[in-house]
Amino acid sequence: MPRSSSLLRAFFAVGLAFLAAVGVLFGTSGAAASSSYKLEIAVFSPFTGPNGEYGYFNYDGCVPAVNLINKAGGIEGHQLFCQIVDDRGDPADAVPAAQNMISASSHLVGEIDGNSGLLSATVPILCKAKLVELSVGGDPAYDKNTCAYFWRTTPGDDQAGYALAAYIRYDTPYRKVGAVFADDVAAQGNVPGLVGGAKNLGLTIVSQQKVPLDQPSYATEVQQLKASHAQVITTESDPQTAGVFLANLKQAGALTPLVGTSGTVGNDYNKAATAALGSSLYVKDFVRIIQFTATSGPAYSVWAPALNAAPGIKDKSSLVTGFGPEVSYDHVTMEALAMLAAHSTVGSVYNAYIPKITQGKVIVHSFAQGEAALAKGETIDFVGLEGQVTFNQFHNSAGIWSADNPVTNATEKTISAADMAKALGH
Amino acid sequence: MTMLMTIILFGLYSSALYAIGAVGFTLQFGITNVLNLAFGAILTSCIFVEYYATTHSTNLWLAMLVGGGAGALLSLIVGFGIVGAFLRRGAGGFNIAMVTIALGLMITYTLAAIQGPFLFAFNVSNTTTALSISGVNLDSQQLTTIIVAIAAMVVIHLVLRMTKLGLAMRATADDPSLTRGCGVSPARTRALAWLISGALCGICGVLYGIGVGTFGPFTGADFFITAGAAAVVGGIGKPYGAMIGALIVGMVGQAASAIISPAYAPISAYVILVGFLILRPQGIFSAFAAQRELVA
Repeated sequence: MPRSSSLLRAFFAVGLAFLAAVGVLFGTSGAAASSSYKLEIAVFSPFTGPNGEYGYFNYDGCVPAVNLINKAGGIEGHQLFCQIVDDRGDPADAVPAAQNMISASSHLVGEIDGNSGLLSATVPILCKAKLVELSVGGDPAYDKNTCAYFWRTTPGDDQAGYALAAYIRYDTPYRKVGAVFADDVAAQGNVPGLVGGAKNLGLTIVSQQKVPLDQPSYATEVQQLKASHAQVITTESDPQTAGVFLANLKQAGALTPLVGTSGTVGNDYNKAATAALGSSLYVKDFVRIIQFTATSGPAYSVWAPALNAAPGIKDKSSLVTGFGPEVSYDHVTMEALAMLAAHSTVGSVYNAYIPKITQGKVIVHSFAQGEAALAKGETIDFVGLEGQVTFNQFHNSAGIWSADNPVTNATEKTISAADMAKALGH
Repeated sequence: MTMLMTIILFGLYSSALYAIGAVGFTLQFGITNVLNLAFGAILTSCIFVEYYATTHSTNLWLAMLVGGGAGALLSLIVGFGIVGAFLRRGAGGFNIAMVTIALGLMITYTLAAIQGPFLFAFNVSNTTTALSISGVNLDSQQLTTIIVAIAAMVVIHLVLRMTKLGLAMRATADDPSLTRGCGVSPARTRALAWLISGALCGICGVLYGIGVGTFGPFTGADFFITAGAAAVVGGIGKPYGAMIGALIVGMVGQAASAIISPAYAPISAYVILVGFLILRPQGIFSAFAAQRELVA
């Protein structure tokens, strides 16, 4: 018998056996699942790649929220769990990941995410599947969002630029600004707002640089900055780029006060900046303009113990005041409260309750408080770690901007609505 | 004047890093005709080994010793062990290239699985200025990198030109069959080529890792693309060409950043690459490599 026929038959046999095994596995799991299943909250963020840290921020906010919800009895008799879905921070990977996320689970009830650069690629897919999505992605295109199932409690990155300008104008003595932003979509989203805000507030942008990521040297960029005599530098880049840039800045004797964006959040950025500048210079010269999240108060007093009690989470002391985990915690809580209010875990039903649970009569700061109020027939206003959430017609909530210490995340100043309005030219 | 000196000094620094990597990559290809696309992953692995083995030491001499040794060993395992096994079974050039891509991805994602997505950092905040010209400062790490690159190029030149090993390598690169007939062991020559290539890869990795200060599982991949471009510009398989190619890529990148825009720095390397492939596809020094047999 020809050798190739034997081989071919062997391949067919192996293939059939594999398909049979897969069928048995899925059939078995399906049978087991129908008897008691958990509701899935997808944490759709990068867990690998240069932005892999952000996914774990989102997950580390989801877990305490889900634990509190489960402790209070779950939703409609079902417990919840947080499912990691890795978008790898790249649209080419995120699209199949989103499609797989939707098709792979029959108990997917909600989603949280935080990747600006991927919204345009993934929101249409999630919207078509009627999956309720609470996001911190700052893509300015979603300032005028048209997807009924997309909700955002942080302003777009273009608003962040205005906040940078407002902080510099009203909370520092500096008027000559250097702008150094990486050439990726998320970082560049800050630039139009910064330029517009500077113009409205009488600041001068003396150097504006779009830097490529992950180069071995930024010496020429630093020399251009030095020659421009910038008094303060606004910046956003990934940690590796920041490490090299800041080291070159210090080496050239061009170190000035630095104002970063929410894109500079995270232990990786702190590590890179500290390694480049030393910890005392980093804390002294760097401030981060970011959406306000509470570091005390009634919502915080529920969140902090929940995080500390959650198993398998590292670096809790830095996460407990971290923007990423706190916002994700709020998002999961909001989705769960909306499901409770709607008496449904179906996205097309409870989606309409997302804004309703932030507009009601009784102010609540946790899932348990919200559940108790809803059980009494009350309408609720969930005020979590982000403060009051008010969605506009595009499902965006403006939030409050603050200037935070880069390491402790303690709020050093909040930017007033009046100053923001002036930056926006109102 | 300050900007010109910045372009020159930091162009030299970038070129030095690319040169060490490019020479390592092209030397091994020149002798074995194996396109090792796992080079970037091996480079990253060496940074991790140095980081842990020396508890984050930024002593460059210690780093190069550890990184070079790790690179040599890993390269030998990948090249002589794994790739060699495929070669001995008769696998062709394209298949071998796919094997090295797979190996590179396996190494990278194994590092990611073990370490997680988090970055690691060397404390470089205490480096001192070692050279200052026209207000442009090079720190001790950057100056050492340039010196090490020059020294490595001189050593490679001396080995290739003045030693029996170098003669065997050049002979194997030109005609492996004839070399076999002259009593030179291709297997031994190949193993030494992988060792030297790996050592250069490891040295490049630790100098790059400490230079940028922060690294992760994917750090070597982007760097390798530019270093590889430098090797192709110089003529794939020709170490002297790789040195020239690295100098061109490093200097033009800095100049593009200063004169046009920083965004054009990485693009410039690939513009040079495409330009050379159109105008002189064999590179600065080389004949077409595809005509030579693979050395098993």
